[in-house]
Amino acid sequence: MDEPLLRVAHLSKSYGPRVGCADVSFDLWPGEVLAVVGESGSGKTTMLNAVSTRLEPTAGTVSYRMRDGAWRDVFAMSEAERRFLMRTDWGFVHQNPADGLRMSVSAGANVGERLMAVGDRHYGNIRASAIDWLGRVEIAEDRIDDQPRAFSGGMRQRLQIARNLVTRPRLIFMDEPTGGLDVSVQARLLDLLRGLVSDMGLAAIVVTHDLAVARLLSHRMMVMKDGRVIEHGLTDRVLDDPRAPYTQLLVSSILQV
Amino acid sequence: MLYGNYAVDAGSIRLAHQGATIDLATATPREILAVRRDTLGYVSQFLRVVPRVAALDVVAEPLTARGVSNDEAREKAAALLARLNLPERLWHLPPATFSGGEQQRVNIARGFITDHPVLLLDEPTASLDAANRTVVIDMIAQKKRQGVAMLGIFHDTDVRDAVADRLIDVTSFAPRQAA
Repeated sequence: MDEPLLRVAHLSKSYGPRVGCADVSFDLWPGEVLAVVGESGSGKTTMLNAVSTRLEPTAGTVSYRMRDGAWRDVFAMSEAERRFLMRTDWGFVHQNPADGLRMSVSAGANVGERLMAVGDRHYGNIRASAIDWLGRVEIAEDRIDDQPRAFSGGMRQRLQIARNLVTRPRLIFMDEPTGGLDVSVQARLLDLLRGLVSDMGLAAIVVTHDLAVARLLSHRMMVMKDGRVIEHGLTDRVLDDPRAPYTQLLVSSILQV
Repeated sequence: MLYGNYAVDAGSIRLAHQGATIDLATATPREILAVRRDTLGYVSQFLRVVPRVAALDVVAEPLTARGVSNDEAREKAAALLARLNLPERLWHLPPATFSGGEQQRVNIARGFITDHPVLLLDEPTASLDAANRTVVIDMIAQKKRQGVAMLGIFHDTDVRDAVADRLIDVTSFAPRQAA
């Protein structure tokens, strides 16, 4: 049972002569939250996109332990299998909710669509699940038929989370999940995410430039600079006793309230 | 270093964890998380929690993290906060706006709620009044009777004399010189 869920080995992605990310390796266990921090352009989003198969890496492997216990190389899968995996066992929460939602269909349909994708066909059940999930992310039931374009930024982000979690994935990727939200909305979203991650035993990879978000959400942390991982360890160890000069600079740059 | 939030340059920290000895100086992050969950508790001077989470849930969290039901964990948390004389009207508020002494009592409750066999105490009574200091001394004595090993930093000599069996004087450690 005590086996990782995801294994990333020597993953690199170049854009022509430019390095996106280089030689990234790590394991992720079930229920574990890994934060990837670094400033803009450090390669963290490239890394996330390559691990989640949204980008083809230049070198390296990503292996995933499927629900039946078998290890699969995600890049050796057929496109259909990979799409099915991304719709069911994985979730991806974008920084901009408009990238992860369909803005012109109702909130309920946004959540229900993922269920239909996994073969659920009973309208009543789908709607009941959608209502349940909207409630879990604190969206009022009477908004179910509204389109997300009528929602505030914080509500859209919560809807995106509901859409991703409704199929009970085991692994979720998040790219700056609280970016662009005001602090009180951000606090509420962090609390919600933490609760969902621990209730569902989710594993997560969270890319953020906000070290405070990383401290509150993650168990382990990776610091990236110029496409490479320069420090990796327990979150509070990295933040309380940063070893790499660049991490020390990052930590000392946090604004105190 | 003992709790794993500072890296160790040399030496070892050996701890009995689930029937085996583990060296915290070389343990993987995953092992350290397991040690913290099951073996090693910590009462910190600082309270770092998710904003907007109620004090009661902050205290209950170490128990729910070990799989105890929410209701049971909250009940235990309430009992501890009551014992530490934290006014009940504060229980459902997030501790960010609490005074130093109130925050410290939330921290103590959070550290004492579990039955970790080893407990680290970082100046647990620094900002408490005399009445609450006595409560904490009683709680430490109770843990001692349960066989919990405790390592604490105390500036307050009264508390130190009341709870300590052995003293380590660190004034001569001078880590900068030793390094």
